[in-house]
Amino acid sequence: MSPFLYAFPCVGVFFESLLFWRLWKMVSRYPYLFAFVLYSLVRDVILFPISWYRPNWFAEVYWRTEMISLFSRFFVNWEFFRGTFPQRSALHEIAWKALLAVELGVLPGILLLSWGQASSLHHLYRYLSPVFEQYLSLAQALLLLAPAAVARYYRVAMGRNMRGLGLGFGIYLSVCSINFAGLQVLHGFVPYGRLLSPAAFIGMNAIWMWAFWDYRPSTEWTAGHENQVA
Amino acid sequence: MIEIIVACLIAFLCLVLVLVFFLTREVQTESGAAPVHPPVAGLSGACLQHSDVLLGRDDYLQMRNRPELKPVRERFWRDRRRIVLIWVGELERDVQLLWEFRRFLVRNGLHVALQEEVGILFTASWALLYLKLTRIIVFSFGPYVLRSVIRNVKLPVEQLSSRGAGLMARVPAEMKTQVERGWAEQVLILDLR
Repeated sequence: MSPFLYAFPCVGVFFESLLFWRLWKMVSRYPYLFAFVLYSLVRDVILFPISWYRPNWFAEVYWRTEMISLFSRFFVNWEFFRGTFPQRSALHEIAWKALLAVELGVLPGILLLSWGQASSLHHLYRYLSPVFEQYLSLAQALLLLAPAAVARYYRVAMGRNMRGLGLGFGIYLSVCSINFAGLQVLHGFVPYGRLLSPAAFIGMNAIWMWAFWDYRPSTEWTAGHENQVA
Repeated sequence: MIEIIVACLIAFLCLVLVLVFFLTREVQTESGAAPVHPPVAGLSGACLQHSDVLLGRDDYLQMRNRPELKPVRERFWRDRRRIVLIWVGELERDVQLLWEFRRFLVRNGLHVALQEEVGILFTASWALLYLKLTRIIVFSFGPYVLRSVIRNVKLPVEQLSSRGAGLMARVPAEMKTQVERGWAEQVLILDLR
C-alpha cells in the first residue's frame, strides 16, 4: 500500500480523535452524536492492526462494521433534530410532523426508485450492495433536510454546533449518494471514486471538529433551557 | 439507467440544498436593538383607499380621442404604470410582512396544525407569484390591460391578512405586549419596512 493510502486513514483518525476530545465535554448534551463518533473512532483504530497483521480479514471486518455504521448514521439525524428542535421548543411538534410527512411521502418514493435496481459493481456485491448504500444515504440526506427546511422557514438560528453538524453530514451523505450512483455508470472512475467517500468522511469530521470546538447550541435549545431554569 | 440518473439528480439537489441551508447567513432572532412600536402587522399597500381611481382609465380614454394630447397621454400612461408598479411592490412587501408575522407567532409558542401551516405556505407563495406576474403584466403592457386581474391583486393579501389576524386573536392577553415588543425588534432586524 502506498504511503498516501496510509496517510489518508491517519488523517481521518486524527480528526476523529480531536472531535472525540471536544465532544467528551458535551457528552450529556449530544449523546447520540458522541455514540456515533465513538463507534467510528473505535472501528477505524481497530482496522489499522487488522490491515497490518491480518490483511485477509480486512475486507470482511471493514464491510461488516460498515453495515453497522450505515445504520448508526440515523443517530446523527436524530441528534440534529433534537438539537434544533428540543422537546420543550414551541416548534418541536410541527417539525416532528414535517419529518413524519417526509418519511411517509418521500421515502416510499426512494424505495420505489431503488426497487429492482441491480448494481453493476459486482465485486462489491459479496459484502454490501452499493445500491443499498446509495439510497440509504439519500434517504438520510432527506431526513436531514426536512428539519433544516423547517428551521429555515421559521428562521430558527441553529447555532454553530447544529449548522456544522448539518453541513458536514449533509455534504457527506450527498457525496456518498452521488459517488455510488456515478460509480454504476462511470466504471473508469472506480479507482478515484473509491477514495471520494472516505475523503468526504474526513471532511465531515473536520467540519464537525470546527463546529463542536465550543458549545454553541441553537436558539431554540437556549430559549427552552432558560425557560426551564426560570 | 434512468433510475440512477434520477437518484443522482436528487442527490445533487440535496447537496445544493445542504449548502444553501447551512452556509447562508442566519437571521438573528435575538437582538439588543432598542424597542420601538410600529403596528404589529401594519400594511401599506392593502390599505390603499379608492384603488378604482388609480386603475380607472376614463381620463386616458378621453385623451386618446384627442390626437393633439398624445405626448400628455403617453406621460400619463407611464406615470400611472409607475404608480401601479409601486403599489404592487408595496403589496408584495405586505405579503412578506404578514407571512413573517405568522412565522414569528408560531416561533414564539403559538400552537398551529401542520395542515394550517402548509395552507399558509401555499397561500403566501401563490400571493407572491400572483403579484410578480401582475408586475410583469403591468410593466410590459401598462396599467390598463387585464384590469380585473389588477383590481383583484389585493385579494390574496387580504386573505393572508385575515388568517394572520385569526392567529393573533389566539394569542393570550398576557403575551400580547411581549409579542408586540418582540415583533417590533424583529421588523427592525429583517428590514422589511
